[in-house]
Amino acid sequence: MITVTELVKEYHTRSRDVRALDGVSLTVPDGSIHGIIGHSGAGKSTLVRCLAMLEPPTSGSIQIDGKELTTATARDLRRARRRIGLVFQQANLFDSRTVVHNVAYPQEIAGVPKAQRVARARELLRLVGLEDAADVYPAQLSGGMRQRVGIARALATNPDVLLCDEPTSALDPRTTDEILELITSLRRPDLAVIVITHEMHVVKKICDSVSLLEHGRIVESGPLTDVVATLDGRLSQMLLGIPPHGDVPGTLVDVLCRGSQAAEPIVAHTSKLVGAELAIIAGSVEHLAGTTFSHLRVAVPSGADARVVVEEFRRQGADARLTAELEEVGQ
Amino acid sequence: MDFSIITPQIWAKIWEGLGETLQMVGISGLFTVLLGLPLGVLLFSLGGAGKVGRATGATVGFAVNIVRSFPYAILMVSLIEVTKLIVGTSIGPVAASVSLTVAAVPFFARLVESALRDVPSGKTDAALAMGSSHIQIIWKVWLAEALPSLVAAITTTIVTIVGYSAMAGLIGGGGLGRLAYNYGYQRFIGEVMVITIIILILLVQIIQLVGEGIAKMVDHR
Repeated sequence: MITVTELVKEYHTRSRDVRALDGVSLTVPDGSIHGIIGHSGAGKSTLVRCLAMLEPPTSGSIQIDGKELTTATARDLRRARRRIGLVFQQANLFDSRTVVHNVAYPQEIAGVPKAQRVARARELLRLVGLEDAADVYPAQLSGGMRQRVGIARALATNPDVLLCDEPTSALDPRTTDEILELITSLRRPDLAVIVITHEMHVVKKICDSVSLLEHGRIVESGPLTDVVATLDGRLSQMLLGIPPHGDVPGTLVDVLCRGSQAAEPIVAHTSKLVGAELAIIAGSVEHLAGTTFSHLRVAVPSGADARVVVEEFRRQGADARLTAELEEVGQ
Repeated sequence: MDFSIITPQIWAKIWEGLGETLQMVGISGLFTVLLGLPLGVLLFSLGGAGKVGRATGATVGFAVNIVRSFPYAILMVSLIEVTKLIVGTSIGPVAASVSLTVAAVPFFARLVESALRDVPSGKTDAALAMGSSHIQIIWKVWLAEALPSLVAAITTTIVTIVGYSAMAGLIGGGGLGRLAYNYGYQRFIGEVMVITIIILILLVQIIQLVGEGIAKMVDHR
């Protein structure tokens, strides 16, 4: 388990002071995969660098299983770093070493005997599906394979935390899915996984919980199924985004259904109950963490009362809101 | 050109000169790598260190630049006393190696520094994040990853030393430079000059080819 409390990182340059992290708090329990999503400039890279202790935070605390990292001495820190496996956007493999010796590197510097660390490296390469590539050099591998080697290397010391920094941002969609499947398959009761990304797709596909990072703060956080379950949440709007549509006459209403509800003809029911024909003009349906969510936008014809429509949707257990209100929330 | 005027005695001198040149290049090449490599690593690592480190780096860099601003001919004359102190004499290839080393170390150190700068910083981050110590990063990441460039730097440096060694010959170092000067310039036997030039060309070609071969062998990028 990794616990981050009030993490602050300030940079002082000659011209100005930058507060890249402005009090980030976060807990990721063992056995779960937590996504941290944010646009560029939100502080993602700084957060990764601080969590990996590549840069000391200005204040705040980082604890792994209750052990504080920020106050560790240089020697303790080197040991502590072995408890965090770091996966980079560019795999950052060593070109001078074969694949198996790349994966063996963390144990090599920890002083594990050669036969033992090479055996462990081969076992990890089998885990990521690359046992045949053990003796080639990284330059001969594709981007996806290099990332697999990077993941195997990050796991070599049996870390408690796997920290993935934009692990799929340099990969094509198909390879991205393969790497995401691999990360999902790593889920173990004693491993906390943090995935930092700007891609919604990554969060949707593998995360149990998610945090939204903006201007160095976590502005929204929670289990995936909770954060998307409310229409006016920022993460919900990002994860269950409505595709663009043209101008439609009438008042627009957004409806969010979850679970078994999403499979019911709720729009047809409501149409019947309010006596107006509601048209679905846009929508998205996603399976997130095992639950189906549907986010629909319906047009209420003039003559019908949109507020009554909203009430009727809510009465049937869905979240509903006038689209105009949501747009205000989103501003 | 009438190469028949090169008597067996002169041939013997030529081989002796080649031997002395190789000796100068060998000794100073070895010491240049031994001293210049750590200096280059120091220059590079101080660049990324804190305020004190950067100040130290600037000082070391300044000293390196001072030595580099000496034309070699002036440097070797000014080092005569130092050479006597170190090897006991200022005559002969061993003595000449002192000034050759002093001239080549800063040059090589700068090449090492720039070779290390070309190692992507992400690799250093990765090594740090995996718990590497500074020494481990220097050996296992910087030097290992920069090895092909370092081999190229050594090759360039040795070729430069070959050039300097001809000058060193003039103030008592011996070698092919001295030979070419004595026979070609002072006695007007141009043939000896031509032979010397051919030998030097071959020597530099061989060094370059061997260097490139090794660089290619260790390059897995």
